[in-house]
Amino acid sequence: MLCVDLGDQVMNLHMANQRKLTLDWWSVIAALAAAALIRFHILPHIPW
Amino acid sequence: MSPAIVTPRNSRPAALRLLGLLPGIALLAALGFLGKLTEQSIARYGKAHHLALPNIEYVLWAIVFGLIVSNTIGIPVVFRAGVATYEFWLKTGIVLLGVRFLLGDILKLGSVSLAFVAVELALSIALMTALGRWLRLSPKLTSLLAIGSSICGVSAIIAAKGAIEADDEDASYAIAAILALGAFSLFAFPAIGHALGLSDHAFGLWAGLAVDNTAEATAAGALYSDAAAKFAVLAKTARNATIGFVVLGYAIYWARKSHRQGVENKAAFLWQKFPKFVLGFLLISLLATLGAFTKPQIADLANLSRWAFLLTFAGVGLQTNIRELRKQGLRPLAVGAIGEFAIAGVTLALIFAASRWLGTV
Repeated sequence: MLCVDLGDQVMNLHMANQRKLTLDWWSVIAALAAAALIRFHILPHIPW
Repeated sequence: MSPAIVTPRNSRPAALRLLGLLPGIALLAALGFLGKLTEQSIARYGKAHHLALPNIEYVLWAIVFGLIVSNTIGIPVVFRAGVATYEFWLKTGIVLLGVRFLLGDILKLGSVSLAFVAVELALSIALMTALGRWLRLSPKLTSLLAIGSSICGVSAIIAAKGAIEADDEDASYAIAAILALGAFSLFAFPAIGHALGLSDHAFGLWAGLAVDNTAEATAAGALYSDAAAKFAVLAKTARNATIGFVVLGYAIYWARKSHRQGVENKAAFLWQKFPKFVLGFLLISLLATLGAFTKPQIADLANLSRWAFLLTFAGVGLQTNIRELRKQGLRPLAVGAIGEFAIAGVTLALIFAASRWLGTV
């Protein structure tokens, strides 16, 4: 039950149809935005 | 799965909800960074004192620190929503990792991985179904275990739960079994890989094909080496891409069995279940292949991907509550464990068999 609660409430996978953007799309948008910021030198060098 | 990270449903404004994520994200970052510092400190100490200390990667430290917090003091309410974002960091990290692949390599390695995935899918579904019948698990729990072990763990089980109208309890058992086995694989796979002297390429493929959850497969690859993590993500992404087909197959099977209406629009169903971050991964790889980024920019994006994974690995530890996993009963775990051992063995044999062609082992 607890795990299903997690899926329902945190990941919201069951609501994928009702939500405008799923977690997957948000991760794509975030990564592309970061790539654009780096490509156009808005974000500085990222060290590791 | 830890009850500690279950967050209450709320109807607060988006800005407040985003603010509410910050403490948990800060906890992920702190534990991940502590893991990185620990790795560096041990290496520095060994160098200064001329000691040959084992190099334990930050990945393992981040997971262990997460496990300690989750299984001792637990996760205070204020951190829970942010901790649950580890799935977002995982997917963002995977999309960014696309920059390190040329599209041609993805197509070549992806098609090899897909061929292995086809064998792995057939084997896991057949094996889990037989084991479930033998140990007299409920048919829907058996289906969920088969789906979880053949594709991508928790997400696949949650996606299938609605499609086959399984009980909450069955889904909970299946998820607990898959998570427990994922936690075990995380430590067992790198040890076996080192014992067998697998190359980074071979190990990455193996982890991507046999470890169930994407986070655990990525972490197992990263525990082996940076290059192995790259191949593990690619193989796992190819496996994830099949989620729609398998869930659709099971949805049709259960609809026929219970004489109810099946899936009407199959194309829409497949699109709905398709993991969209795979498209982002391919798009970033395409941009890199077309020369959209300079070499230093590619290095920056790869580093950003590592930072995203750092948060993910801390989340893997934080979301694993050993007491909760033990509560879920032994039979689903037994079915999962026997099946997983067999799948790990067969996928390893496949990789060895294909090694001459791939030059991987």
